Amino acid sequence: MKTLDLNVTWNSIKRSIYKFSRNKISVVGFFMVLFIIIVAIFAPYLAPYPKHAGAFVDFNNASKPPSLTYLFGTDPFGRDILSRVMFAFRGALIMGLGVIAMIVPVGVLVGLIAGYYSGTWVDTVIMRITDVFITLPALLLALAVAALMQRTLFNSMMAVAFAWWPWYARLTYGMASSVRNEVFVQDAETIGASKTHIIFKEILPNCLAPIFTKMALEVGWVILVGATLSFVGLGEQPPTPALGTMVSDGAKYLPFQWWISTAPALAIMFIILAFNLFGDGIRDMLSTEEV
Amino acid sequence: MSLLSYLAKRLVLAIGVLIGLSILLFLIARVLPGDPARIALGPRAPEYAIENLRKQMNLDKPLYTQYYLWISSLMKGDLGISLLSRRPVQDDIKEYFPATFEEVLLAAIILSVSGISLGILAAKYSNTWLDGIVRIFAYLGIITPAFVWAIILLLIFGYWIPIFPLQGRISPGVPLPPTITGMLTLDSLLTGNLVAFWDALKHLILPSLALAMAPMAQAARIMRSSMSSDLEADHVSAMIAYGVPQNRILTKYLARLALIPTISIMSLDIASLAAAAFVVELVFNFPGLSRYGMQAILNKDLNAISSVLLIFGVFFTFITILVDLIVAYLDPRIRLQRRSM
Amino acid sequence: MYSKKLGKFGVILVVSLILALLLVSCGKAQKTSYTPEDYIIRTTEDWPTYIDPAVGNDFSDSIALVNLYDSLVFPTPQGDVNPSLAEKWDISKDSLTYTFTLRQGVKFHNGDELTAEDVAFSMKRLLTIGEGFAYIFVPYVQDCKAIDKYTVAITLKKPFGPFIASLIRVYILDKRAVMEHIEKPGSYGDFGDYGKKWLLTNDAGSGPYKVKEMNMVSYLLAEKFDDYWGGWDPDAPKFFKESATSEPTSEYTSFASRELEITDELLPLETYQSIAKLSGADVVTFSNGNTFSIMLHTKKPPTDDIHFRKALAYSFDYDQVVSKIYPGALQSQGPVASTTPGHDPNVFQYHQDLAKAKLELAQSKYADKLNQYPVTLSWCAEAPEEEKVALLFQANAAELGIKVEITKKPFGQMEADAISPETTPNASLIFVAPNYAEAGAMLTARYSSSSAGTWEQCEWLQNSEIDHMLEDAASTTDKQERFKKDYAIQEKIVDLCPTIYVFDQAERRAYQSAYVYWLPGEAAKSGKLYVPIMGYGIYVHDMKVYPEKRADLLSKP
Repeated sequence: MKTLDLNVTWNSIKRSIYKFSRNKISVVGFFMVLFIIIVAIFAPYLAPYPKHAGAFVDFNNASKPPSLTYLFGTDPFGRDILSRVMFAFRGALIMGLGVIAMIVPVGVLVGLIAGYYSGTWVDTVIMRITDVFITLPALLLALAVAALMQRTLFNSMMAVAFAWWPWYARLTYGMASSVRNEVFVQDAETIGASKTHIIFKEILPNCLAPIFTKMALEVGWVILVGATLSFVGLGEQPPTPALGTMVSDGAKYLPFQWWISTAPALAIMFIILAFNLFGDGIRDMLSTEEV
Repeated sequence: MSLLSYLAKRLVLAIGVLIGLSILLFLIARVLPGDPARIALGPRAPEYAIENLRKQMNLDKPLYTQYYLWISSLMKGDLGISLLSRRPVQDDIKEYFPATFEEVLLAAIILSVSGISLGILAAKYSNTWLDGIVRIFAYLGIITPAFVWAIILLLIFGYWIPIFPLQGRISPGVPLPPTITGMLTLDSLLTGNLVAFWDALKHLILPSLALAMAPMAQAARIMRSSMSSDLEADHVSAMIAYGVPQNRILTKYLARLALIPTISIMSLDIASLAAAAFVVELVFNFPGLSRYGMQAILNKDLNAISSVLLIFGVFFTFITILVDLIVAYLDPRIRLQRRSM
Repeated sequence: MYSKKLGKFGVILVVSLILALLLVSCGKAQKTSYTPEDYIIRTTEDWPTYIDPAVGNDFSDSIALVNLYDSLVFPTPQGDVNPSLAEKWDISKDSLTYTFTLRQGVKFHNGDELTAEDVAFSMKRLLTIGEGFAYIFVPYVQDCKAIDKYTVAITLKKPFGPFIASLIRVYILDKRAVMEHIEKPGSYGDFGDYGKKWLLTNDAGSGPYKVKEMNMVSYLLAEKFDDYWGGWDPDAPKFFKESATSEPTSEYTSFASRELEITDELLPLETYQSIAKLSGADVVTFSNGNTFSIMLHTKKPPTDDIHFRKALAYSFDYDQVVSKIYPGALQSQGPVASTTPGHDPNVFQYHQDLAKAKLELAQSKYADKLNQYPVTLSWCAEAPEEEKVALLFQANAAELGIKVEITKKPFGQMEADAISPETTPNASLIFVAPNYAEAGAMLTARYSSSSAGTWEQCEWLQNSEIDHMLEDAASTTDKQERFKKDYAIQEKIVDLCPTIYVFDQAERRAYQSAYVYWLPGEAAKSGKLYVPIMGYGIYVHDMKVYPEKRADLLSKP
């Protein structure tokens, strides 16, 4: 393994894209993710009834089955379910991307430090702390923390981030601690390179691939945890639509008004599938980079 | 190192981790919500009663003293009083834990047997329609959250083909077995009460199935992919050339090997079954520890929350150790390495 | 041994399928069997439930208390009271002393005979503990003494017109049983904890049913007390179970499999409609004197400004609620339901008028700072239909530019929030019931300073003039005079606009009319007026259940 040059050349990018596109399923995943992002951003323009995602009620059209006017039917408040699902993509994406954006820097940094000082007390302390966190499944810890705070999207994100960050620390630590003892790192130390340089210029680049892979694969799972939290009532409050909340609201009306839960449930599955396929593709693309 | 010393080392580590977990939970319960004494006494208590309780709960003492007192009462088995049920949390746990344990156990059995079998089947008939079906099912299973599975099952078996009950642990009017383990299925079997056994089992099926679906799909997928990649390997071609029957190759060699990564992932999944149970038990109104925990969380019942989470922490830690042991046993590399020392 | 085609795993699959079939077939056999449990009435209601007569005061508590205990008098559906434990009573000329002659030979569930000592003890206990329905009596009752074994005298500090009617809420406990179970040390000196802990899960009553199992998390199961002094109809239920309300889907399923006899009144409209399609089921609505209100916190910005509150009252679409969300209900006119004696028929009623709303808003001090002052609103998780009202309110307010933040909370949480002015939200959606059949009951429960800090008043009105008017009216012994004063109070309160009065509840329940005889249901079906006070609608002693008819229903496909 040699030091990865972070000055990626145009050629190497072209190569990665080519490798990615070899796997047709991953390409499908990529387009699905793109679709989700576009829908989320342009929801006000794409949704047939954008007002229905806000403070709106129309009891004359409540609980109507899917029809040409309302493609996925209406909910008990008379709001178009399709439009609300499209707006709900926003919350889902914010949760997924936001949480990952929060925990990756923190987790990776902690892991790098632990890896750099591997073998010393710093390492032990940090690793034991992460051990404590991973004793409980992330969902449980996130549930408990989110429920004890005020019910907002931001707090749910904080709760999930709180439960999730240790996994990145451990992943990074695993690689950092082995890379740390490689020859080229020792050489850099001998020359007198600063700690910052070693951590960020020597160790980090060699850990990036698995981190990116994990990130891509995990966005879907974070969104799943977010949906579970909103299923029990945590996270965004009405009238802001959230996929989990829509499913749980609709569950009351089964089986007769089945469409109220169906569309959001399918949407959840679609999002997770998209990120899974995309993530698989990223993993394949990055893993073949290895010598 | 021998299996025993490995076990010992893991146990010591586990205890350390659990202590850390208890500190974490304690901090969460004390720092986040409002006044624990007010929350405990409920809405109708007069101010002086709250002051009394505050002194009783030692809320006026520094945090580390509070923690120490909490841990020592925990050791004695006193988990505090639950806000919701107004009785000692340990009584609640004794009542609800066996229900969730039965449910998770059944789910674990379903997911491992089915998952592994499906994976092997798919590998055996790889690249045929059977394989295709299993792979699609695997993908669907993985991307569907447990609560969606719960709702799907509710629809299918509650309305379209109503054969399984939709809530509770046992039908009213069915004679209950005496409480030996607390697990209705086991107790009724032990006392020969077949009616209760079948009834309790029927109540367990839907929640356990909802829990098992996603991990089952995951297990099938991993089993299949590691087995089929091995199918190409040289040593397998050698065995086929030697005339070893295909089924033997599949089960004795490939499956064993594929079990290793599968079981590791399965262990993580089984541990998180109890987490998924939080929502599934809510949907099916199943009176288990997870539903109790969920209600505790939603109602800010602090004693119950910390106790339930701690119990799950202990549960998971032991599952992880157990699984690591199984993997260590199964993986010949580790086993042999052990022997050579 | 393994078939070539199936292989080991195929065999396992087949065996599992056979097991599954066995499970299914075993199941079918269960449902038509006939067990003594069939003589049972099961119902659901909000939770938690407190069955201690000195603590309980909401719907589920009342249902329990009404069946487990007796009081001196018993309410009639027309709005007055009949003798119950008290056979007759005398009122002194100055209206300050009431002497009751008790019925003899009444037994408690443990066999003790009910005497005047028990009545005195129960009243004293209620007043000392001060929770539950105590607030009705604390301002008026001076003392309660047993004169002899069957005579008890209650002396008042000042005249209290509706006193006899209010006595339905003093439930009589067995002094000996309670004292046997007090725990010391407790908050009540010699009385220890006054038996509060024991009474969480036990009863010390003489009522038609006694506690068999009380699971504080989910249900109360009571069984028939054979020696009940009121006697028994042969078809009366042997058991009565009140459970926590659950998901509409589960309630529908329980009802359809005949495991629930009477539903609660909290289900979504669509669920009642689905249940109505089942054979042998009837969905009935009847007025119960309860009102549904949006209680506005008069001491927290921005609802502390009267113009802001009036703006909200003018912006709300009342018609939508009574026509679409709760059909059958009537828009409220003031704080008292129109079926309650003492209701003022001329009090001002708001209607949706956006122009007026904007005018009012302009006069409020928050008019140009709306973004900084959102209105926080809580609705009760156990009543899913309330979300519709909440969202309607939010949508209506949005048209004025007012931002509303909605939170769904379990009722227990709303109770907890009501305790202090800091935690009470700007708006709370709550159903309130009068505790005895008079306007004064509702007005006192809702607006006297003594009820601030409980779920019955989230407005924190604390208005001394209203307090005086309430006391004055209550001490008026002449009914007509009293009602005139009640009218004045209603008018003054509506002027202050502390609440948005949404509707008088038409309690909607589904029940198994094919095998259950339930008086309110029968009355509703035949169009007779029947207004049961909170809790008395589910008086199980007067119900009848026919297990063979239930078995019939179950054996049909």
